[in-house]
Amino acid sequence: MPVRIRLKYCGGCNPRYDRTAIAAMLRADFPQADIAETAKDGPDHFVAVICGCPVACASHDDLRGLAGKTILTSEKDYGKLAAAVRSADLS
Amino acid sequence: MAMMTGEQYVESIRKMNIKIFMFGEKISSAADHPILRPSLNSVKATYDLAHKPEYEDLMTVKSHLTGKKINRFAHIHQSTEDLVKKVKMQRLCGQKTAACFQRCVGMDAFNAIFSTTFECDQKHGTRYHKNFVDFVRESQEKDWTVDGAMTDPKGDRGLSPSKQADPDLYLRVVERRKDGIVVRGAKAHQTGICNSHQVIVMPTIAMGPEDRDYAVSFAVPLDTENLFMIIGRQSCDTRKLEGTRLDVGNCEYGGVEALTIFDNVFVPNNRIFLNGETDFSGMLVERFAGYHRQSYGGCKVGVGDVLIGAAALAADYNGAHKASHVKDKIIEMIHLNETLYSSGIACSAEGFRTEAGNYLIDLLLANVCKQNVTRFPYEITRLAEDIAGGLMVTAPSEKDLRHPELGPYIEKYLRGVAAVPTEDRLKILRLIENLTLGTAAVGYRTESMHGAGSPQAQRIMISRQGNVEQKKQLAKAIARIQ
Repeated sequence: MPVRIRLKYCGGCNPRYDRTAIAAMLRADFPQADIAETAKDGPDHFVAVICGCPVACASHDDLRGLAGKTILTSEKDYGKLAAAVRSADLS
Repeated sequence: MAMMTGEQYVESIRKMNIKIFMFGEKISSAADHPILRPSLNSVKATYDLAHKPEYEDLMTVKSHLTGKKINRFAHIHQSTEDLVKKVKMQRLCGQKTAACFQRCVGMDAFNAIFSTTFECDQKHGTRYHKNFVDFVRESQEKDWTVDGAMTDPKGDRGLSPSKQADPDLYLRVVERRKDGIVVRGAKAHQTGICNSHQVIVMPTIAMGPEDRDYAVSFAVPLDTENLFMIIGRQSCDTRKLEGTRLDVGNCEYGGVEALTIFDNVFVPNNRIFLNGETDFSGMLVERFAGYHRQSYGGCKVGVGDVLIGAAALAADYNGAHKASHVKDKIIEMIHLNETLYSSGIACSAEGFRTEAGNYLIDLLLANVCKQNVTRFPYEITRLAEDIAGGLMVTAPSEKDLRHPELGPYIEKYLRGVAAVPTEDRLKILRLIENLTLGTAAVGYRTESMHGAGSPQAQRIMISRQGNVEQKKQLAKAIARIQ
């Protein structure tokens, strides 16, 4: 079963960077992963909450990742998300 | 169908038989006329954005009535977070359209009437709240665009509704029947009404007992019998008929207004939300105006974002972007724009729960927000025109640019920095023209002045809410006055 990563965006009223670039980087770095912006049946391994600024106002209380949830507020945060996906023990 | 796509919305409007007149002729549909289509496109954007994952956190929300995901424009605010996200959504929509996207007025009417009907029922034993909740539920389920109509023609401003020489200058009940009411009158300045599914009518001022027939609120579909609208003119509107894109400035989006006539329109009982309870007319007006003054702290900010970007690009294309005074003007524009946003967010964060359970903004801060909106966009446009230079109002037409003999001269002599095509420079100047004195100036300038109430209306509310007595006590305490 491929790694499942659920993406959740903030609403993007005044983003300081291109939030969709995070998804593009994830898809490039983890081509085998199942990366989706919408809910699917069954659990997700990771949840990435991609926020356009430090306010991080996206609603995500209802989202759970078996191996964790990462909240990104700048492009720099991609590194910690990628590291978490790489290091996760999904066995 | 809880959420329509943009295309489904367009088709749903096309299917309606809305009676629209413009230039003395009947228009078949707002969906198919080049002057009206940009207005419809702005509303279409509110449907399309709701289906995009990167915007849905602002554009959609769970209905407290059905539990289903709905477009936020149909929502009854359940928290201060909802109020804040409303403003953020409006900023986003302003950024994406650079125009009035029109659905705010219905959303603001929803929330004002929701709490007012509840309190009216508590006092008078009426059943308006149930009528209204049923209407909201159906609006959410069918994802309607609902216009909110408040402004009456008003005739002699020194006279109350019932004292006017012509009694129809404020919309009124002319007949009360077992199955409903018949109303006559007009509502002015209705942005987007020609591409809405329904209209909610509200009274426009606080009223006394003698104005009973004027204290009326209801909803009807816009293809209701005896209802028709006459489109208002806008500066540069017929450029949209010329078949060129560049000269329009914003060829995709816009907003148009209409004078809407209710010439003996029947309203069934289940769509009546106020009918003679004059003591609740003022509350409804105050709450609607409060929500709508909050709205301007989002929508105008989004449009301002586009205008600031356009001015900065104009500076780049002119080769003036490194000049310190140009940088400072851009900073000033940002400062003004973010100040508007600050009060929009502040009145939302300081919101509170009504007796009906929905959330109302802080009225003082909402009125401060709108008072700033009556001023700052004018200064932002002045600075944009300063940075753009005179070419924004003297440039030749797109047809001249495309002309085989004239075009090369325009290309040669109207180029700014060498790396930027002349056409791109002209495009950005036309966009600035559109926002500062073209069709979009209706929304960004004069609507900023008079929309949601003219400046004096906010000053009256600021005076009422300002708590001057407490400030006097503070001064006395510091000055040690007993």
